[in-house]
Amino acid sequence: MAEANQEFPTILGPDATFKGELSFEKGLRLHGRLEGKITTPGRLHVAKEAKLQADVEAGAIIIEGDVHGNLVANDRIEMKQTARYEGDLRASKLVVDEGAVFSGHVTVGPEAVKNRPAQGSGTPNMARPAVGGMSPAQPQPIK
Amino acid sequence: MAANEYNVPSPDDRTTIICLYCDRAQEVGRKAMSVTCKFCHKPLRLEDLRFKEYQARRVIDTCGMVTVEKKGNVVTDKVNCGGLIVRGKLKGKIVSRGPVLIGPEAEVKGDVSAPVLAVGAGAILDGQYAIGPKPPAAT
Repeated sequence: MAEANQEFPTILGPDATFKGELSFEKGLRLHGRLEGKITTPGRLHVAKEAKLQADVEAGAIIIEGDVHGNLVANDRIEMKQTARYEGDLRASKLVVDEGAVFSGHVTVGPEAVKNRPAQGSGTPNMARPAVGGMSPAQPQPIK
Repeated sequence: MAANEYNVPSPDDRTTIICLYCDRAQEVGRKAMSVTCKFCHKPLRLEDLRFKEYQARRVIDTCGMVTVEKKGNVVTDKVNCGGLIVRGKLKGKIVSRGPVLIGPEAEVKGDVSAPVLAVGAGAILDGQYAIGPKPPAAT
């Protein structure tokens, strides 16, 4: 359990609903509902019972629940058996388990993320402070 | 000689296929290479196709499995098949009635419509995907 918390220090519980822009450093496990935009260099795990309606830019995205929106992952996107996804995705690697249901445009490969078309003013800024009361983990000085 | 020594195909040696044109299921002999759809009367190929080298084709039509091997490079307008395994390169629209399996070193460029998709990490993909139990009707 402690190891799981280190990988996903942020958890949005099944009875929680979040609307807005969210950024974090390490990982988020989503069990509830989230609507808006997510920016992170870390990992996003959308659990089976979760509903996500957002544009996401992350290091890695694991989908088990319902997702609507455009996804960009610098590393990989994994769709598990129970995943339901609608939107356009762009990632270096894609892993789809049998049973996943999705529709949308797929661009996958080592060049897919690098050659991404430039976004307008909405380009996410990783250094921007978090919105919605969830602050990114601050690096601790090594003692 | 006993009667059971004859190599007579048993009546249950049959398989169910789905017509590529009218999407209706029907039973055919497991060893049949081609049949005529008993509903829409269109000719159907049933054999499995395997591509091990470069091939350019207008349409690849079969109710069987299409396999593009590691050294295979297939360029086509459309693949209309019962199932697809890609380990090499494939460029063209894919409409599959069965699972589409894309290996980790595969490169698939084109729209894909299939009930089930499995992709290995490392594959290169580009196209519009419609994956689910009821893919949109083929055009």
